[in-house]
Amino acid sequence: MLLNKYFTIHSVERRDEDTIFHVTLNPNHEIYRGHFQGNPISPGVCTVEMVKECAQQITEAPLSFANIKNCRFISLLTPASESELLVHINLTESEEGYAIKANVNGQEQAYLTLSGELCVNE
Amino acid sequence: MEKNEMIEKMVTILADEFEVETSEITADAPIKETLHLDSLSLVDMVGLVDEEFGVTIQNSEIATIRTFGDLYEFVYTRLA
Amino acid sequence: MSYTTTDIEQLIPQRAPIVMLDTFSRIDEKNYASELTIREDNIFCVGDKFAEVGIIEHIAQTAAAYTGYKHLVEADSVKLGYIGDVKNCRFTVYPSKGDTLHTTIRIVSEINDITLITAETKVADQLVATCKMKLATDESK
Repeated sequence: MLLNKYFTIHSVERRDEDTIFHVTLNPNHEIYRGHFQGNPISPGVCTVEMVKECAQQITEAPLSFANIKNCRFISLLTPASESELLVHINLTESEEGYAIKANVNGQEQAYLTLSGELCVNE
Repeated sequence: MEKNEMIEKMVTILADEFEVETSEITADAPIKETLHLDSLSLVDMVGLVDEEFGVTIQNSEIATIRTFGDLYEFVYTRLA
Repeated sequence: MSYTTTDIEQLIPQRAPIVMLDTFSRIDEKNYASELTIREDNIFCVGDKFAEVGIIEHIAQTAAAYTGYKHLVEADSVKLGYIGDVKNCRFTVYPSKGDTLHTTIRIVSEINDITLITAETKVADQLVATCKMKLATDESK
C-alpha cells in the first residue's frame, strides 16, 4: 500500500539483534492533501504501516497485525523537515506468528516505538 | 472500603502499572517523579484510578494532587 | 442530548483522502459512536481487505470528532489532533471492502489536552478490534 508510493527503502542492514531499514518519505504523497491542509504531517498510522511493510521484506510473506501491545508516537513527523528515517525491526517467532519490536528514528528525533504480534496472511 | 484498604490497593496497582517498588510509594512522595510520569502516562494514571475506584479526576483538579497523600485523600473522600 | 452528524468536516481537521468517518454520534456524556463504510477508493485498502492501520485511524478520528464536538458546542474552532499512543490493541476480524465499521468509544479521562479512550469496532455483530488510545490536541492551532 505504501511501499514505493509513500516511502522507499534505499538500503537494509541486517544485524544479529535486528534489521535496520533506511527509508525515505515521499513528501508529495496524496495523503498530505488531507493531513493536514497547508500543514503536512505524517499520519502516525502510516508510520505503523511502514513498519509492517518493512517487516514483510524480512518474512517475505504478507502480514497482518494480530495485536499491538504498545505503540507510542513520540514526536510529530513532518516530511518537509525530516524525510530520511531508520526503521529498526526485531522479529521473533511467537504464538501468532511473529513478535515484533520496532522503533522509527530520524537524525535528531525518535518517532515511534512499537511492540506487538504479526500473523502471516492466509 | 476502609481507608487503609484503599491505600493498599492503590499502592499495589500503581506499583504494578508503572513498574516501581511499592516501598517508593509513600504519602509524601511526589506522584509524577516517583512513577516517572510524562504527559501521556499521567492520563493513564488518572484512567486507572477511574477504572479501579470509580473516582474521576477532572482536568481542573489534577494540579491539586501532587503527592500520593493528596491522591489518597482525593479518592477516599469520593469513594461511593 | 443526542447528536448525530454526517458533516464530519465540521468536527475534524482531516480531509480527503484520509477522512475515515462517515457518521458521528453522541450516546451520552462518556460514550460516542461512529460509522465508516469501506469504499472502493479507500486509501487503506490492500486488495479487498482494509488494513489494520485503517481501523486505528478510524478509531482515532472518532476520538478526534469527540474533541471537535466539544469545541463545536463551546463555539470554538477545530484543533489539530494527534495519536499519542495505542495500547492493548487486538484485531479479531479483518474487514473487507464494502463492510461498514461500527465503533463505540468511551471517554476514560481527559487531562491537559490529552484524552484517553477505550474503543470497540464491529462489523455487523462481529468484533473487529478493541484498543485503548490516547489523543493529544494541539490547542494552539
